[in-house]
Amino acid sequence: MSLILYLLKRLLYTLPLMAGAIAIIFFLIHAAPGDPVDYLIGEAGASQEVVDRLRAQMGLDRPVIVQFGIYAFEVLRGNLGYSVVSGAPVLTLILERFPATLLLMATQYTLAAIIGITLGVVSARRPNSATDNVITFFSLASFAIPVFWLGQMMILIFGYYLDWFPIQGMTNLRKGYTGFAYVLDVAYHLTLPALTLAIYNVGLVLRLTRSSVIQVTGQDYIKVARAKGLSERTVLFKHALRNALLPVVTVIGVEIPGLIAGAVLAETVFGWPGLGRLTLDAINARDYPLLMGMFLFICLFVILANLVVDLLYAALDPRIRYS
Amino acid sequence: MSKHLRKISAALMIAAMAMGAPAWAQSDTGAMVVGLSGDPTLINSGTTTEINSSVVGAQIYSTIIRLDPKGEPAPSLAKSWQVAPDGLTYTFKFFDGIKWHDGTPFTSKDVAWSLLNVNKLYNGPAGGLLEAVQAIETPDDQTAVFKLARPYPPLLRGLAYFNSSTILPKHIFDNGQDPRQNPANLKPIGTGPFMFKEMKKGSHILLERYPDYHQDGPNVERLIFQIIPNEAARALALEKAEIDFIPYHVMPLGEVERLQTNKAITVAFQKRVIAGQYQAFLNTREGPLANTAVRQALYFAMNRSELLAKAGFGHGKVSDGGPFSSELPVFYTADVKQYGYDPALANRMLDEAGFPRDASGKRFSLRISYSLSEGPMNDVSRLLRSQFAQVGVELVDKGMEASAWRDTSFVKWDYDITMGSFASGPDPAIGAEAFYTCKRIERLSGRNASGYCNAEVDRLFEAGGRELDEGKRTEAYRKAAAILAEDVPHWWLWDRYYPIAFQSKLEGITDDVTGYGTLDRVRWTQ
Repeated sequence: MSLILYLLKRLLYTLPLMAGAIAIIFFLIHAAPGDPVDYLIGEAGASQEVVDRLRAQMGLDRPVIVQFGIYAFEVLRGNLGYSVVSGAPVLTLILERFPATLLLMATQYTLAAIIGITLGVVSARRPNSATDNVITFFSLASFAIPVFWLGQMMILIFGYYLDWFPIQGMTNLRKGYTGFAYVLDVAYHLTLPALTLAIYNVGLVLRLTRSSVIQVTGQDYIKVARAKGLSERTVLFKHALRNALLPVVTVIGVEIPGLIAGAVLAETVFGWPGLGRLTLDAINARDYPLLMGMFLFICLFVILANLVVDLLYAALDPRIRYS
Repeated sequence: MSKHLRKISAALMIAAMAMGAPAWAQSDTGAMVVGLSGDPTLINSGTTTEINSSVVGAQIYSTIIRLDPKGEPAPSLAKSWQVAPDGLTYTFKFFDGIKWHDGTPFTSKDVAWSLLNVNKLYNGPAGGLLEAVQAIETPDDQTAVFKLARPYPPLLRGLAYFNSSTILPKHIFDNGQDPRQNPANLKPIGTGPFMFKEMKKGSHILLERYPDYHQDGPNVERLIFQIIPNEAARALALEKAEIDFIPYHVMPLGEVERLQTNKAITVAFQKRVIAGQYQAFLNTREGPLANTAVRQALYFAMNRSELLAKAGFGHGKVSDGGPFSSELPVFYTADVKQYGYDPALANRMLDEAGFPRDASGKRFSLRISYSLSEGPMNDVSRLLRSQFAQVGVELVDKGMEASAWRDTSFVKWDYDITMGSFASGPDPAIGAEAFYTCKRIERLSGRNASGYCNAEVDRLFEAGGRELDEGKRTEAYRKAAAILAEDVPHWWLWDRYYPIAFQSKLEGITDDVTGYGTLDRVRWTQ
C-alpha cells in the first residue's frame, strides 16, 4: 500500500518538473537564431510573400509567449503537434525511432553492467595486485576515450580491415532479410555499436563496484561469512556484492541522460536509425514541434528511469521502505 | 557468466560470422544502394528544394523534359516540344499511355495544375522560373501550352530540374489540403521509373522497379537509399560494397584521394550546369568594405590557389570569370579583371585607400561568417586569417550553425564577410542575377545581401534575361561580369567541381548533368 502511495507521490512530483522543463526548453530553442522557414526554403531562397505566408501558417508571426500558450494547451490535450518539416505527427516520428535506440541502449548497458560488475569484483578481491592494476588501467582508458573516436576505430579494425562485421546500419538492405534471418542480421549489425558503448560505460561501473566492494569486505559480516567456511566466490558475489551494489545502481540511474547523449554519437557513427539522429536533424531544421516533443520524451524517460532505480533499491536492500 | 550464457553467445558469434562473410562474396545485381547523409524530410520536390528530396524524388517522379549528357533538352514526359519564334508560347506533346504508379492515367492537366498550384507557390526557384508564365492551357490530355507574359529563355532547361519542376499528381494533391501536409509526401506516387515501397526514417528508403515505366529502364529491381550520417563511414561502406554510389552533395571530400586508389571504385566529377562557386558576399554598406579599393586590395591579398588546394582538396578551379563559374556554359568569360596573389600590391592599395597600419601593424579588423556545416569554409577562414595578417587586416572568425548563419547574414545583414557555395547557373537569369541586382536586395536567403547596387549592371541583367538571341544575351552578361569583377561586391574563391564515387561495375551514372537526375539508365555491367 505504502509503495503505491509512494509511487503516486513520485508521479505527482514529475508534473511540475515536466512543466518547468517544457517552459525552459521552449524559450531556449525559440531564442536560438534561425527558424524552420529558412530551412524549408533552402539555399535558393524565396520571395518575401512566400516567407511571410509560411511564417503565418506556422504561427511564427505571433509573439513567443502566445506561441508558448498554444503549445502548452495542446500538450495538455495530449497533442504533441506535427513536424513543420515533414508534416508527420511528432509522436509517430518519435515512437518509430524509439525501438532502435532502446535495443542499442539496453544491450550495451546490460553488457556494461555484467562486464563492469564482474571485473570490479575481481579487481577488488586483491587490491593493487597485477590483475587489479591491469583492470584499473583498462577502466580508466575506456572511460577517457571519446565514443565517436572509439566507434570509428572499431569500424576500421573490425569492419574494414578484419572484415568481421558490417560497417553501417541496422540490417543488410541489399538482401532485405525477413523472419529469423532478420533477427540474426540485426544482432550482427548491433555487435559493434553495442560493444563500443559498452566499453565506454564499463569503466564507470567497474570503478564504482571495485571501491564499493573493497569498502564492504572490511565489514564484520564478511568476516563471519568467511569464518563459516564459505567459498571466496560465494562470499564475494553473494554477500559482499549485494551490499556493494547500492551505490552502483544509483550511479547507473543518474547516468541515463548521459547514455542518451552517448547514443546520439554512436548512432551517428554507425548509422543506427534511432532517436539520436532524429534529434540532431530536428535541431538543424529548427523543427520546433519535433524538438519539443523529443525533449519532453527524454525528460519523461529520465524521470521514469530514476523511479525504476528507486524501486530497485528496495529490492536490493530490505531495510529501505517507502513510506 | 554462466555456462549456458557462454554457449549461447558463442553460438551467436558463429552464426553471425557464417552469415556475414559469404553474403558479401556474391554481388547482387538486382539491387543498387545509394548512400545519403540524412533522411529527406519529405519526398516532394514540388514543395522543397532539399537536395536529398530531389535525389530520391527524381526516381519516383518525372519532369516534363530531361537533359541529355551534353545538357541539351531531351524527352521525358514530353515526347516533343515547340517554342514560338516570339518566345511567348511553349507547346509540349506528351507520350501516350503514361500512368501514375496507382494506375491513374497521366494527363496534361497534371502538369498545369502541379506547376501553377504547387511548385510556383511553395518552391522558391520554381516561383522565379514560372514568374513569366501567365497560363498553361490544356487543349487535350496530351498537350500543354505555356503562355508567357514576356520572353524568358531559361524556362525550357529549368523545366528539367527536379528541385523546381517535379510534376505531381493532380488527383492526389488537388484535394483542398495544403500540399505540404499531404500524406503522399511520405508515400509518393509518381510516373517515374521506380515505385515507392517503404521509408524507414534514419535507416533507408526502398524503391522497386515500375514495370509500366514509359521510357527505357530501369535496369535494377530495387533501388535503396541508405542513410549514413558519418562521412568517413560512408566512404568505407562504399569500399566494402555495402553501398554502390555516393552522390555529389554527400561526397566526403577528404576521402576522394583514397577512393581513387581503389580499383573497384570509380571517382568521377559530376557535371553540374548550376555551376556552383565558393564565394564571399561582402557587406558594401558600411566599414572598410564599403570602399571598392579595399575590396580589390584584399582580393589581391588572397592566395586562392592555397585555399583551393588546402581547404578544397583541389576539387575545382580558381575563379577567373568573376561572377560566372567556368562551368557555366556559354556565358563564362575570363576576359575580366584578374586578381592574382600580390600582397605587396594589396599593401600599397590599402595605404593609398587611407587605412594605414597602427603601431601594432594592424589596419582594421573584419568579421568572417560561414556555416560550419559547409565543408571547406572553416579551413578557408583559418587560411584567410593568416593571409590577411600579412597585409595588416585581422579576421574575426564567426563560423556558426547553418540556420544561424543564414539568419545573421541574409536576413539581419549583420556581417562583414559571409561565405558559402552559391550557384551562378544554370542560367545567369536564375543564378547570378539574384546576387547582384538592386531589386534583389531582399532580406532573404541567397539574395543580394551585399547591398551592391549599380544601375548599369541592373540594365544588363534585365536585357540578358529577356533577350532571345543567344549572342546578344552573352554580350550583355559578359559586360555585366566585367563590371562586377571591377567592383568586387563578392570575392569569388573557386569554381566547384563535384566529385562522386561509385562501384566501377555501374554504368550510366555520369550521364546526368543536374546532380539529381533519374537513374533509370544505370545498370550493372558484367
